[in-house]
Amino acid sequence: MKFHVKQAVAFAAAVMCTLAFSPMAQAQGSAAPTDPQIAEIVVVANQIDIDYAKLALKKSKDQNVRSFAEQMVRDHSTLLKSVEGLATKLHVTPVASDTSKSLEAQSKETTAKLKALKGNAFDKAYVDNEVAYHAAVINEVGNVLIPNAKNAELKSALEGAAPLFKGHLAHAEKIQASLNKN
Amino acid sequence: MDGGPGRAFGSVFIGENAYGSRGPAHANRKNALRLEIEVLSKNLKKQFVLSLAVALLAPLVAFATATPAIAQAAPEASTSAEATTEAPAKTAHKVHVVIITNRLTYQPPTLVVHVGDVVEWINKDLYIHTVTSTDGKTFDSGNIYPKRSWRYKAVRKGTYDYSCTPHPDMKGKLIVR
Repeated sequence: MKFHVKQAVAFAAAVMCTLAFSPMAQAQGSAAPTDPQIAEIVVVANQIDIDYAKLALKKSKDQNVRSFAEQMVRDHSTLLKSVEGLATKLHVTPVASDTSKSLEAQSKETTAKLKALKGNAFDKAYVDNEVAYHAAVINEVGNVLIPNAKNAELKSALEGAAPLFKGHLAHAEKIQASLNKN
Repeated sequence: MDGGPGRAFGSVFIGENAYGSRGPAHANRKNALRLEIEVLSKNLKKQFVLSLAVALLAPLVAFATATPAIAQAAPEASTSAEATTEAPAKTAHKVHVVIITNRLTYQPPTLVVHVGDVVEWINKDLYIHTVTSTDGKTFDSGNIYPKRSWRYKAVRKGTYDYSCTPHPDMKGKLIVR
């Protein structure tokens, strides 16, 4: 049991560290993303969180974790749909960038680590990752994507999505606090 | 109101039962008699039925044609009555509206109402939200889907902080005086 807790803590720490030096953080130093690249980053970032949530729905038995995961699938699917709709409307075809590719590579790694965990260890690792991931997304959207978006509608859509990510972060932090009490 | 239809059905049932209790012989005699009466009064009956139909239908037709005029006049009458008589009354209960915006806020964030007033939260966002009092007991809307709303009648004085369960940084305050 102790081993599991230690493992979870170590994993959470590892996730935090990797995210601190994540592709999103690196992106700030690299060339400014174009609108098609921004669109792809948003699409990929949404899909990654949906996939994490689907994994949580397969593995978790905790009611709070499950309802959070259901919400992530629902909210991010809605957002994904509206981003894709906007891209079509604006004739912007999403284009892969170093940032989007690194995001995908990073999520494969995180998914593999999450898949190896069970029970409380999984719940904590999933929720810790959601806290870190949403914090990173908020940072990326606010500091990189919004300032670099050229199209006014795309910029406004990103500004509109920012409160949603903050809402998710607040929810994830609430669950994180309740899991740490146990 | 509730006793109305029940009583009507009751009287029909009692009538049938009284006829049945007289027995089959009596019924046969009565049938024969009825045949005679029917033959004799066929023409009379036809007239009666016709006049009855006219008597019954005439007011119905009159009522039906008059009804639209009444229905149209009624709302005007009631609104003017409200304006003159209900406004100064102490018991007038208002309906207040709070919009859940697509920027994930409650507008207005703080609302002051009186006991008996109704508050309606309208979800104009793309996402599901809730209106959940933070004391965990006074009110909880459950999921309010996009384009849907939820109403709450303020029953007790007090200050109630509330938030959205799926987006806990969305906060509002309801003050009931």
